[in-house]
Amino acid sequence: VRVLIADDEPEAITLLQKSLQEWGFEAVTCRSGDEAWEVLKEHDCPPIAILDWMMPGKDGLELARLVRQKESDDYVYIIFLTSKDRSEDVISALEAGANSYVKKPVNLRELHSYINTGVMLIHYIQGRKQFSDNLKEKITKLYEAMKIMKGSITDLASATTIINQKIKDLSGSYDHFLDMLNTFIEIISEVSTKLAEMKTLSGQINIISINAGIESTRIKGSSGKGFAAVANEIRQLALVLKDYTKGIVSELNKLEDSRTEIFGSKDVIHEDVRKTEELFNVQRAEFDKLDAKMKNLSEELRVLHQLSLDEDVKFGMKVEKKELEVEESSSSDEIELF
Amino acid sequence: VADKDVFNIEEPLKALDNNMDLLKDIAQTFIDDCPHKLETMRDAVASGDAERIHRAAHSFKGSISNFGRNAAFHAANKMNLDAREGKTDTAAADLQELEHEVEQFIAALRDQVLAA
Repeated sequence: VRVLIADDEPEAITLLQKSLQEWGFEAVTCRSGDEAWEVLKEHDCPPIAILDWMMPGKDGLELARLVRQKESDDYVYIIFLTSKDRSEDVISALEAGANSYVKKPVNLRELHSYINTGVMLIHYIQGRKQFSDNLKEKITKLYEAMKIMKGSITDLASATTIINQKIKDLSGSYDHFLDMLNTFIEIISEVSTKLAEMKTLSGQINIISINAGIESTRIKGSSGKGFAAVANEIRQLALVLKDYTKGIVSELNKLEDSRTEIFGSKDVIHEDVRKTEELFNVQRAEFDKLDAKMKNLSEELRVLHQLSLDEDVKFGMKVEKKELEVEESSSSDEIELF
Repeated sequence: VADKDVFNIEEPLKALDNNMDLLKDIAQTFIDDCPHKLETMRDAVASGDAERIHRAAHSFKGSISNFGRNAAFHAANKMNLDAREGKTDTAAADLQELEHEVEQFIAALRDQVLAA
């Protein structure tokens, strides 16, 4: 551990240098307040400083105040070592930021005890700072990971919304197909009616052709025979036409039966879409719950981070008050409900 | 028999946890730096500036205090206290007294510490 000595008295320098060396410390000697400040103002300065009060340049009081105002969280344990021995002097030094006050002539055991106290405090502060830094680093990493997870949840929620929309589109397309099929079947129905009329007509032609055959017997000679033959052919054609018509009507009736089946499946499909919507709503509610949990966790992490910063400040560390970046959560805003 | 008013070796030895080597080191440092200290005192007194006298006497007193509260310490402290209150009329006489006491003190240091 490095210990700064700021004193203009050569005897004090010799005494302190040799004693510190004997106790296992590394002495950094300065013979004026200005020289000491050049060392103490640096970031990585000695953590323990033994300051004389009266010396050339800045005096001990000014030095102590400057160290305490320094924008750094490196704590310096300050021991005043001075021949000023009035109570008000001790109070002034402590108010300026001294941790302990040793009167000259120095009693080495007393000084050694104060230095050891300083070492303990510095180790404690350094350990605490390391713990605090690690904690803040872990909180920040956790927070960043949570932001990524939140992004993934939002993406998943969006994907679910898209899938749901596609299912709805498909259902709509199916309904449209059924409408078209219905129109087609109606046309077929009309055709069927016409065919039924044709069947009746062919029946009538059959009867007429039978009558024509009877009438032909009254005609003598070859003309009567020829007329009877034509009437018979017409009758045969009418019978064939009647059979055809009957066959077509039968097929059309099958088509009508298929329509009933197809329309029956419409209900099944609509039920499936409804179930999908239900599933989506359940999923969506889960996403919302997860999002709310993430929000709470984020808030707790920010509170924990703030507590850690507040603790550092309470502990006398001059820390940079860097808060976690707040990100509004979001899946709720981005997911469209049915 | 050593004059305990000039130098009582028990006092610094107690403060220095009976470390004779350390006492020798600071005694040698004091003796080496003493001419410079006295010169500073003389200049301060010659200037008649109470603040300068106070600073020089305070520093001198501090150096001697490492060896106990002997006659040289009291002489330096008198100059320190007087000058702190702006009193300089006896400074020249006090300085003579101080130089006399310091001379005896150094002799005692050489005899009881450095030669031991």
